[in-house]
Amino acid sequence: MDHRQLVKDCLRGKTAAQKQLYDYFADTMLGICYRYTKSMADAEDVLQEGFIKVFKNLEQYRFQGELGGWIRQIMVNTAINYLKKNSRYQSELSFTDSNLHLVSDDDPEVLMSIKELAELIRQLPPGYQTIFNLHAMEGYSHVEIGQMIGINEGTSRSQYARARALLISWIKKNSTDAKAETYARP
Amino acid sequence: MQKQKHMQDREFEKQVRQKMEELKFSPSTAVWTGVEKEITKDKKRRRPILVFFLLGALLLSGSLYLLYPGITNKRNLAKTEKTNSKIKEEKLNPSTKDGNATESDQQKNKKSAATEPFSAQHSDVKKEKPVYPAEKNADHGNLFIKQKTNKKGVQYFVGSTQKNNLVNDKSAENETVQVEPEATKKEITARIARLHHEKSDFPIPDILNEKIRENNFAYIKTGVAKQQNSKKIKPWTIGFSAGAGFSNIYQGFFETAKVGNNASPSYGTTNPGASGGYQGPSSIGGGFSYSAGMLFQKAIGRRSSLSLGLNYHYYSTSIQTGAKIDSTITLYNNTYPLTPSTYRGYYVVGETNTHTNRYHFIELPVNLLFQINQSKKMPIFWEAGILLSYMVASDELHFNDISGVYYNDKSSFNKMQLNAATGLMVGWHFQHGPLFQAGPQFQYGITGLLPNSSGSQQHLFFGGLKVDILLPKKN
Repeated sequence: MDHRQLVKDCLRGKTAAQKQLYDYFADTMLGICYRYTKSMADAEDVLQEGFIKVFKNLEQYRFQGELGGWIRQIMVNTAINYLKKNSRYQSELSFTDSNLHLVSDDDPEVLMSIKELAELIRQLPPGYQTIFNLHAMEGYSHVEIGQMIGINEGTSRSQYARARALLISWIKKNSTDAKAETYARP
Repeated sequence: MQKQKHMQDREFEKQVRQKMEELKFSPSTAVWTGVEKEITKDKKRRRPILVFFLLGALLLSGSLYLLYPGITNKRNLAKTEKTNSKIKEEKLNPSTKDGNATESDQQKNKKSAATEPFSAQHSDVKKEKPVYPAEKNADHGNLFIKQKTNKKGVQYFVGSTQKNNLVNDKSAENETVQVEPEATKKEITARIARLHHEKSDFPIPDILNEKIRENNFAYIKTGVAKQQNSKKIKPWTIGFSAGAGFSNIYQGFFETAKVGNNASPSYGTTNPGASGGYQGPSSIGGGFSYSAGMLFQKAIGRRSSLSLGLNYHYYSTSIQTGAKIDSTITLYNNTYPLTPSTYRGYYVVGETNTHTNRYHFIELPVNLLFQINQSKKMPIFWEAGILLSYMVASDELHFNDISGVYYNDKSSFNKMQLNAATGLMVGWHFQHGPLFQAGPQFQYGITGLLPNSSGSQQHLFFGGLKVDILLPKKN
């Protein structure tokens, strides 16, 4: 797909081109927004806000790097701001050590489906969920994460370790339950 | 062992990332509806640009329209002169006219006009009806003659092509019959006679004796001359205008402004720029400014002129910043509800870098010029007026005091500006050449550059030299 022409048409204000660009990226971007939020409605809010920013700032895209990467960055930033703005997420961004159960050195193989894994990530406390997404999925360093969400680097690093351990324990538990279910079948 | 552990860690992240890359959902149609609504609203916000250019086009076409009647008026005057000369010719050589009127007829009519009842002459008069500009366009040729008296007590006649008997003074004056006394005498006599015949309620003036008529015709003749003089319209003069000087941004009345602060004091993120101890925002310093455009000037009085224009105007100011960071930053603007905005590229606070804020405007100046001396060779004008301007582009940096950074936000401006301007213009009129006008000019923004919600007052100022070149009129 020729993104260059599509972007130029969008900048000219062609609604058809804008719709085409939206259709092309919306599904993937909603997947990203979904990982950062706790409900599909919130994810769609982030997606909408993100795409508005994309179209309003499209002239800033210099055709350096993938258009999808540029849009993804906007979506992530929009999601972070949405979490900060929304009181439901704000109250749980205090990074307490609640709900921490165990830290495992033995990392499991992730055999579960995409949606099951996404659901587990979304079940992490919001602070952990955000840091896990930013570090493991987007590849931001802990320094960058600290600047983005207003915490120091050490906090980001320790919170990530805890989020990761929690997720691994859930994956293991999920895997054991699945095996038990398989063996229990006649 | 530790390396193996690290690789294992990476493997877990890699697996999760790979799976999550494939996570896709179809959004509901409401999402696109919301996006579309918002971006269409943005398009609507751009309408002022169109309105502005439409206004410019109207101004130009209006100027051309004002120039156009001058041309038609000249044509009309030429036509009238031609008609008059034709009448003169006919008077000298009556046989050339339609082959109907003879000298004896004319003498007969002349005599009749003076002595005989008007009604009796109706049929004869029709034959030698001269061509009148006013009558030419009339439906039935019903020229109503009205006797009027001016302030000095002199009586005169005006004609109207109106079908009713009420004569519109204004239109009547415009249609004053322009003929030589001899021809006029006959014509007016004939008209009155005909009117008397056709409209029994038309008041026939008893005072229409030879002496009075002579006075009236003389008056008409003088009136025509006066009218011809008054019809010499003062056309618009086209020219070029340019200016150069100093621009700055002030708050209040010439108080040095600081960079606009768009941050909310109660809500923010990080403060990467505040770590150096310098908190900002920087004071704004002046910069170079220039303008260039077209000019339309018209004399509206003995000593006053109206000047309209269409200019491009460049302003610049300077501020002190720190290093430029070429990455994305999310800031909260001072709007309610608080909305985060992402900006690509920003400057931290500091004094290591001088950033030039540039402003590009399209302006529509409307000025009045009053000549304050008597000299014709070197007139001195006091110029005062307003400028309606539209910001086409700007890279001005705003300041966010929570994050301690300078950033560019094109949407944070009052794009439509109203400025007051004043100055002195000294003119040099070269014979058969253009008229130069030059002098100091000062301009100050009545409207603020930033919206009221920003809490910052910024008014653009320009001071410099302005030069107008008015092209000579073609004869």
